[in-house]
Amino acid sequence: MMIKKTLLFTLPFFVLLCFFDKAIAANSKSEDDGLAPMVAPIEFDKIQNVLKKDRLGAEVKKKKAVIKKEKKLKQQKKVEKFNIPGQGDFWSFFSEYWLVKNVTILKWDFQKPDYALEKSFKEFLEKMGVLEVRYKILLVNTPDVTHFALPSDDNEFIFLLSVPFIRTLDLSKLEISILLFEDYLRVKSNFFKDYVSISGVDSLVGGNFHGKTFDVKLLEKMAERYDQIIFDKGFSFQQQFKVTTKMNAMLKGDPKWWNGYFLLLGKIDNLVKSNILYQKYLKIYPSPELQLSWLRPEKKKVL
Amino acid sequence: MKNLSLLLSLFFLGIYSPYAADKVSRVVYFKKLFGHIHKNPSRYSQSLSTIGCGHPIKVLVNKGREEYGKGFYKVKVGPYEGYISKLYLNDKKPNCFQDKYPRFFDNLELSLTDMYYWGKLYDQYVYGRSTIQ
Repeated sequence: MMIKKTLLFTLPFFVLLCFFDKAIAANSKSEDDGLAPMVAPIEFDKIQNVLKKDRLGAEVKKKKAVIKKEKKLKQQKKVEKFNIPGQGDFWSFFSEYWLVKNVTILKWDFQKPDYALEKSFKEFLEKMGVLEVRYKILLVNTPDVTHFALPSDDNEFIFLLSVPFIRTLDLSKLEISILLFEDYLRVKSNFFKDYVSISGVDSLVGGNFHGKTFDVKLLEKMAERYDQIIFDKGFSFQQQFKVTTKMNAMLKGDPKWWNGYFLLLGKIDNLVKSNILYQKYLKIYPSPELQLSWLRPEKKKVL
Repeated sequence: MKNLSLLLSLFFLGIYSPYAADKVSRVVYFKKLFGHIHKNPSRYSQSLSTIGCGHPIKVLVNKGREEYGKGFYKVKVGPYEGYISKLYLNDKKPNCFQDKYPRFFDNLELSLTDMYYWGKLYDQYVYGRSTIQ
């Protein structure tokens, strides 16, 4: 009974649905048939003027220029990755690289006494009128390098100072400052840079090695030059004379400083003549005895 | 009652524990080539980890205290909690040497020992600057 009722209700709906479906299908077919002959291929030559008026060509040019610029920037960034540090970055980096590689010889990784050098040397430099100079002092625990200045960034210097040397000579803060100042004059005169800058380094510093192989051997040679000048060769008599006369002129203004320098050289002269550990000092800084003679005022013959 | 006493004890432990009071105050960046996270606020203290330039560092504050010893911050770097000198930190990401000259830096082929000692070098320096008064 129930099934009969539901059939009676659904059958007319089903018949109606079939009828509409066929009608829609026929309609859409007739629409397709009508449109087909109306769609023609676009002839771009004919509508070129219209496109130009639409500024689509200009837009394409703009986009092409942007893509070109982006590609150029991308290439530039790629090339920049192969940059070699310039004068501003190279020397501080390389001096520190050398210090790291020579940690076992220099023995700088140890707990140091606090000599309050940052304050005393700052005051000394300021009194000397040497301003806006940044410095890093590295105390080393070896008599092999007594004192030395290494080049760093612009207006920055790295000073090496031996703790055994300070202790053996019982140096005062003023004497240490004078010693560091003498090193500062040496490094400022570019004696060091001139010696370690082997041929090829000038083109290396601030250059780029994109598309080439990086010459690591050049850096190794430079490190060897660092070794030579710091441990063996040191400075020439002419260079020492220049530095000593410059020190003489700069310290003359204050008798305390000048006497301090004179006494310091005397102390060093005695040390290198008596202590076997410091005999190599003469090879690096020739020679305290000569420096003293250059400092002594000339004796004028009185007739 | 038992649960309440447990909760109270946990609450007080939280207040008086020195670890619980450490809060991250800000994130800063390491600006030297290499450096160390120290166990104690001293440049000679044992190194917990070596970090490179541009490494983000969380500065920890304990009851408003940020500085320890002579200019050291208590910091958290990855799993390590230690101390680092504020001289080596920057508020903004620094323009690191490694990023400026990446291929040159790679060609040097620095070993882990080199990196360790390079970090130590910055701890060993005595820094100074003469200024116009």
